[in-house]
Amino acid sequence: MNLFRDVLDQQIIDREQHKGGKVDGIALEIRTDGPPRVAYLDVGMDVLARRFSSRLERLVHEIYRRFLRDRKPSHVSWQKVDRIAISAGLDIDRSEYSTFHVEKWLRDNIITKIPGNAHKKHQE
Amino acid sequence: MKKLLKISLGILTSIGGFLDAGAIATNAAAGATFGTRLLWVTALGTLFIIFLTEMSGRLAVVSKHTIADAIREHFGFRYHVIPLVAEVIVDFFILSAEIGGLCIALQFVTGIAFRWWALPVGFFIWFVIWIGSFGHIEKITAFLGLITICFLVAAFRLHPPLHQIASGLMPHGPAHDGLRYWYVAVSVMGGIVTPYVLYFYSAGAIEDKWDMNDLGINRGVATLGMTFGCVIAMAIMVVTAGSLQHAGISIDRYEQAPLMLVPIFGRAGVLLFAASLAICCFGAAIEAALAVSYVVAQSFGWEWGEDLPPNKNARFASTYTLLILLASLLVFTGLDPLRLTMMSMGFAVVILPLVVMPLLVIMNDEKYLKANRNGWISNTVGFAALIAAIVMSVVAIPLEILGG
Repeated sequence: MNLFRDVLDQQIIDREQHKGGKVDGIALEIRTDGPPRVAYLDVGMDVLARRFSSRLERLVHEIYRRFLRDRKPSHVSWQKVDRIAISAGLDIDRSEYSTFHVEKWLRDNIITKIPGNAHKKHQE
Repeated sequence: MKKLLKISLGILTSIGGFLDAGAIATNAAAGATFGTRLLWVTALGTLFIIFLTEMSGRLAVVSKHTIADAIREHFGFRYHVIPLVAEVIVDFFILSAEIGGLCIALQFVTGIAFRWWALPVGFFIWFVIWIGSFGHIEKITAFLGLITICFLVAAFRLHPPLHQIASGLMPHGPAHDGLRYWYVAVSVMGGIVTPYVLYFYSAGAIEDKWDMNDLGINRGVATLGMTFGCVIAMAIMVVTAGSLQHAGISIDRYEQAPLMLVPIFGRAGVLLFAASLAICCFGAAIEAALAVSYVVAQSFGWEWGEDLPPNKNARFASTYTLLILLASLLVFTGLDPLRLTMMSMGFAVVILPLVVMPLLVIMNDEKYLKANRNGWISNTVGFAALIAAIVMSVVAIPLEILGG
């Protein structure tokens, strides 16, 4: 498998078939007793920002710190990755890692305050 | 039977996607100033958009990737951020232009200045997206869009000289006002080959759950839908050529545009024009607002889909909510909607290569398209579209300053 071609920037699908962000970064573990191996997938705006500059990353961290106090780490252990096909399938619930916190914050503070937000849309 | 229904619905929707404030304003401006001499640009633009939308649909059907998914995955985020940011900015102006067009149509009918309509119109568009499903929106815009056939009726009633139409379809340079000619030509092209249509279409193919059996439907919808839209756009040019150019009226303000139908339909012409403009802008505003939500959500891997209730995709819903609010506020400032429209079509042209280039690369990649990669015909037209897009994106801004 080619990590850059097949894994980086792929859609993440969680256990419930929900979309849970993209593979924004891949962390390798350098070992003394063997070749490097994938430790975890990294998800989040801060990880994306790091791909541009460390200053941008600090800015995103600052924003996160202000708005999302209960932020969990954004690592997804490589052991939790089920399959890599059209998307990276995970054996994990997306709310267990951080990227979902913005979604949750917007949902709880804004979207659910507007009437009709839970309106079940008609399916054909 | 179900297939036929799917195709006809898709065709009708494409007419809505094709005809927006940009297509109406640019084709009317072209007809008023240059008669039917720019018909070839509308035809060429239609050829490009047919092939490009077919590719976006095929990509979504075969690879289950939308354009935004595929560009990010294939070119990485460091490239993808460029078309992403460009698309959001340009679509913001296009959405403002569509909201402005709808407000102008209401001004024609009620006499109340357009800016006072900005916020109610914005709210209405948001409300339809908030509670409607993808299928609802498709059907509403599709059937209401049929009113634009009035332009076709008008074109026939004018008995335009056929040899002039035929010669207008042949590509040629300007007879007078060179800079203005090319400026209008680029705007007409921008009004037709707009990037948001491609993003919207590829997401729509997934919303409509198209599968491999629907590749034929995809081809039919792209070809026939865009062709019908093109015929109406050409009719607008022919009608303005016949009714406004002869009277020496050029279109500098939106208020002049409804005059094009008056010689044919009398007073009702103003109402017909207002209704057509309102409906096209309404459909296009929804598509542009959704296109931004699609592109942003797909770029970051958020949950997306118009059929989910907003509390199931909060970030997707927040994106269009914020965008519509900002666009309505821009219209509320009283910025001239026609200028806004022409300007945003110019911007759309500038960013076109950013999506056409990666799309062409991906359409030739076995990893995504397998056996359904582009054939030589698609690649030839696609490459021609790319060259045209690059040339136009270079000359668009200078032309806007010198010719507009």
